[in-house]
Amino acid sequence: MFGSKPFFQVEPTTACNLNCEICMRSWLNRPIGFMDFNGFKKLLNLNHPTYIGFHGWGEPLLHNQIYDMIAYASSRKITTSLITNGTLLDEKKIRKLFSSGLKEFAFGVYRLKRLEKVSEKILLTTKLKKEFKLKDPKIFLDITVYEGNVDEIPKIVEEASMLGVEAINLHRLFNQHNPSFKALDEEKEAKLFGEIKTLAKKLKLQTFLPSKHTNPCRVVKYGIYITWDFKVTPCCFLPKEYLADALSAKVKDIVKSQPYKDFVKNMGKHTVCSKCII
Amino acid sequence: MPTNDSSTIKNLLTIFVCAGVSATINLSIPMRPILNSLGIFGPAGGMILFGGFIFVLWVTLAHLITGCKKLSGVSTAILIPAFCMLVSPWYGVVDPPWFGVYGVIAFLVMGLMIEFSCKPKLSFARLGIGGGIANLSCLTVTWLAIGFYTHVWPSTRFLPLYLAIAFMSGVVGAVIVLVLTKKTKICQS
Repeated sequence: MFGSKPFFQVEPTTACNLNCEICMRSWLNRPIGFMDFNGFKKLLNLNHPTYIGFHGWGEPLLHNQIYDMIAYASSRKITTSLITNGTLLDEKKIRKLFSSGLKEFAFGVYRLKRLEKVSEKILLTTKLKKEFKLKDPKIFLDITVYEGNVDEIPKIVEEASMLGVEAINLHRLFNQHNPSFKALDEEKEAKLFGEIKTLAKKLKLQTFLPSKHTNPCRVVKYGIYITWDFKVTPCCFLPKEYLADALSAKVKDIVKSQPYKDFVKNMGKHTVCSKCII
Repeated sequence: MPTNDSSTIKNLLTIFVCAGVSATINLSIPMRPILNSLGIFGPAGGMILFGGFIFVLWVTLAHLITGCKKLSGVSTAILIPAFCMLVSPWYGVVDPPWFGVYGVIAFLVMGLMIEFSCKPKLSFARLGIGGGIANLSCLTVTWLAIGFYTHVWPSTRFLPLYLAIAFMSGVVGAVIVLVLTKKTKICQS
């Protein structure tokens, strides 16, 4: 089960133009850097993932070769996805993203007021996709759910539908550094997800909800995290849990190594994993 | 004997039908899983492997059915990307918005190569090599356009293999047509 890692989460950069209060990025205290494009090509030639998610602790559109990275992955028949805060988008960038072969294009939001700030850009994206008669990318709204925004979620979903978004993806907030941002308890979450499912069905929006958290979690079961400086770590919440250098070893060999096996075995006792709810 | 008018209509119909069938096949084949399973990466992986069957075959067929009428191959060829672009942009590239022009140029070259290979007379070797070169030249223009605008180039390691496959695909596509047209005697020339 842990030998195959079809999902690579790749961090193009740790730079971000925003400083969202719910984000762990500033607490991680990591250097700001940008993934080298040639290194990225080497990473793909060394491994053959089926899916790459360009989302790490930074805004991917700040990387000036992000379009080339996506296009290169697409040419290798890899399904690509990207999550952006949307603030840097303009028509030229949207066209470049469409041309790169991107399959899933998500706007990350967590408050209604944040969504309103980028709603024009989302609308432009969905409008251009229709205008160009493109099948891909599928346009998502990626919504982070926590105690502080639970009442806003239905409104955000309605807004998503009005903006022409095709799907919504809800995910739980996990910020181990700031306890003031609490995840929903099971009961509240079940109620909200039920409500959102009904609403999304009515609005004809495809919905993706997180499954029940397990140990080992689904992230570790199917994915691996590659930091901008090519460090392989088990997931984005453990960017300093260095397993190996991504350019010197194949991921399929790294996951067979003793350090990785030990990590998986001890996840239940891990200081971060034991608290994780993702 | 058909009149000139009916023959022109028949030729135009042949060109449109062949281009339409070619575009429909191109749009409906699930390229990604097939190419993935064979380890053929792009860009234009589908053209490398299937170019001969999806494009060269139908352009050659139209050209032969119309009695090798001048520009019938070229017309069929440029109608293929035109039909495909009614459904989606050429290779999904919308930056620049006029990227589709490269699709038309690539197929124009293909059409010219096929027409050239039918002169002065038809033979298996001449038409086969012509079909191979037609697919290769169409692929080369496509690679250059994609490479220039998206910075994705074919792997240098596999380039000779890709070129060989593309050539063979074109050869087979053209030869199939000649066999079919001779057997069914649908060729007007």
